[in-house]
Amino acid sequence: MKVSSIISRCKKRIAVIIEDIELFLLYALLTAFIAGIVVASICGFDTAYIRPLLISAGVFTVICLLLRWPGWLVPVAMILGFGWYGVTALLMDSFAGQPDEAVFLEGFVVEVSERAENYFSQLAEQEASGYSFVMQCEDANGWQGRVMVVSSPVQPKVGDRLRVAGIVYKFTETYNFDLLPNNYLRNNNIAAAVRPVPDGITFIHLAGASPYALAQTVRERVFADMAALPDIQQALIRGMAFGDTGMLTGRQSSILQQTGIMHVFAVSGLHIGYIVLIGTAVMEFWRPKLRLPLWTGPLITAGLVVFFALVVGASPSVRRATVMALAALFCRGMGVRHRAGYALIIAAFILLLMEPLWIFQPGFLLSFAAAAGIVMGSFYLRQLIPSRVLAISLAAQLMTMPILAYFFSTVSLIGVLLSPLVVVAVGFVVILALLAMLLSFFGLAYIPLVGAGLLAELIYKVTEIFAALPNMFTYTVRPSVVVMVLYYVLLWIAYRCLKKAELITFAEEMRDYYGGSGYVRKN
Amino acid sequence: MYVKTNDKSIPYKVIAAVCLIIAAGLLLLPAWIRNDRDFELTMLDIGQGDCFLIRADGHSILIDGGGQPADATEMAENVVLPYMRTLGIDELDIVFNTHPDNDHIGGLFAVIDEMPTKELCVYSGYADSEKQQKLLRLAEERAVSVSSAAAGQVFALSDDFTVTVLSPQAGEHYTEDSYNEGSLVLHIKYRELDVLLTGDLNGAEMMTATDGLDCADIDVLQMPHHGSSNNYNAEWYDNFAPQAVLVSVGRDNKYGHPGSDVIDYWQDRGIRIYRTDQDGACRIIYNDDTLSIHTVL
Repeated sequence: MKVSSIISRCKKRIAVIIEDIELFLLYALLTAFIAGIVVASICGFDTAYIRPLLISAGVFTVICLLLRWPGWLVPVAMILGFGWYGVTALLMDSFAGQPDEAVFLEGFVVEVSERAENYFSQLAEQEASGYSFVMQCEDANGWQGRVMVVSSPVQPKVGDRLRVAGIVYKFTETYNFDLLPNNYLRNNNIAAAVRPVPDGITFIHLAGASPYALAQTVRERVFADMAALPDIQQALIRGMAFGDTGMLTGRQSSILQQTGIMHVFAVSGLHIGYIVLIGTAVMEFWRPKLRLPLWTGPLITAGLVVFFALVVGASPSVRRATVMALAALFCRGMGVRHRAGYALIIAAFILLLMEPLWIFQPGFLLSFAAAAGIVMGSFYLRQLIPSRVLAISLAAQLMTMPILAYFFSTVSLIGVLLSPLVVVAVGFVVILALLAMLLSFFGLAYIPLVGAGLLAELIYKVTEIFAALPNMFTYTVRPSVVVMVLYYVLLWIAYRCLKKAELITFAEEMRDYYGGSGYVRKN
Repeated sequence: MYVKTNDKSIPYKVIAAVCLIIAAGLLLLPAWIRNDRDFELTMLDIGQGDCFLIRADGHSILIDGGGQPADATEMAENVVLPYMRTLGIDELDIVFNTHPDNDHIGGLFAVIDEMPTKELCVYSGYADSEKQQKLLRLAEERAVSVSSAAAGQVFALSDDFTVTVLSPQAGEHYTEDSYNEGSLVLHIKYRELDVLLTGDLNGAEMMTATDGLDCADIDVLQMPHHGSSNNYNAEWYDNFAPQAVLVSVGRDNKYGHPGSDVIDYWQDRGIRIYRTDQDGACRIIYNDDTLSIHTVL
């Protein structure tokens, strides 16, 4: 059988599967899965439930497959969410080390942190130039899980195998009015923080050559070439192009939050979109010349997207945007219809399976809410706002507003207007930074970085002016769950009405096109 | 160009717009119609350290900013500043630093950097404190007016709301080993309510600081130095008859704060101790001349 024939049959089969899956069912499954996680969290999960739960989920799955009754998948998803949270909680809670106790760990590095929002990274940097990283490891008692090493004198690479002798660091948990308990470690699926004793880190095996190592080399080269720029420009380029907000001062972060444009400092769909755009343009130019098959374009572009994700790190927004972009490229390569809504839900499932506790993390929630707003709402909002760019900005802001109010007590009014302007300008910074990545192999990264730095500083100065205007943002109390539910119900009603309005407009246009009345010529 | 004369979609657009306005209003309304109390003091749970926020008559003052040993500003970034934002505070009238130990001054670096502040008030007799000098430089950069406080100074924020500095005496000098003795002791008075905040005050300074103060009038008393046993002084405590005693400490702190003798003393007298390690943050509200106390846990 010819390869092209196999590919053709596969394409048809996948097309059928994708078309068969109803969007509402996907939404229901995701909602049930999230509900399971939340319920398990609220109830305080009992580890004794895990085995019966997983057996029940298996039985339910078999039944619904036999009966071809997809509705049964909803309780299955809820049980899975519940059990998934339980497995994660069990892994964390079973860590035996108590604060100030000595522990011995062995494992490999899964995350090297440089981000400011990771406050353990800040903690380490303030303590005699230490580093922090997360290990997937095993302790002397056979416990397996994730531990964050703080105040490390050395910065390992992802994939390095280490042995660490350290002291369990006391993680302070605090409880305040109108604020969530301070539980950074738990939200990141990390059992404990450990501070290594002097000479307590031993490298067993260094990470070999890999795409990740190459990506990190590119990142380090660009950062090294950036060192000659003023601090503010470095901080802004790092944030806008690499999602690394570690160099931003608290004041700068506040201004960006108040003006509602902090989102451009999280690598997301905007950045990945530029990569897809550039990759597609290059491949469309070269593919016919090289006589490559049609699917090579999306494949190579997907490779670029993955490489960029490795350069910038694995934050929730990067993972979400990467999964969505890969889904779109896959559909294009296979010649099947792509639906952004499906891709968004699948991305949410994959990320929650990897990190179930991210459901409580603002970065994850904001990234998905903004993407959902753009995918579902921006089209209908054009009934109210003719400008496409403004409609997209408003759609994202409307979806994220309650989350911002809940986690950051800030409601930015200027964000709707400022965001489209900034997004366009930041696009040029991102493109220049991408050029710098390419030129870093030839030692010429400095050239585009100068332009990127000046532009980034100009954007920030404009933002400062907007932040100084009166009543551009307001601090508010954390909205209750009831208020948030009510908010989203109202948003849903608004979108339903706009959808209706859109249908009426479309019908009227059709009627007029076929000779009806209702329009008069304006003199 | 064509315009519609009978666009049937308009009612739907109007309903949608109204829904969006109401939705936004749901989030903004609490900010516009905040239920401001006459006087509100919050002892924030910032782990081991002190941080008190007071709001009264439209004025906001902060006393210390906490500070973890390993990361000075972490609690300010994650608790103090976000909490002030939930209250809608966009400017502080006065920030007091009782003394330049990390668990009191640390978080103020983030507060002065990010929260517009009219005045920073410190005692200037800590000659060798690099941290205080650094904070003063930051205040200068942020155009915050700096004032040196000493015993006898009165900050009148309104007719009803005053802050009086009881200690230390002007001209005293303290080294790193004796910063605690040099803590600012603040007598906060709002109408008939009297609050005494004592920083890490210890030793003989406890007696001299409250010389001339009618201690029996104090309604809310902060235990000096996080209720440390080293500061246990029954003779000094006997002077007071507070309705509430405050202790700001971290959970399972390695210093053993608060001391069991301190706890026993107040329990024997039947006076409730509010501790951040057990109660979380504590809010003292004085409204219509009535005192009420609320805790998170």
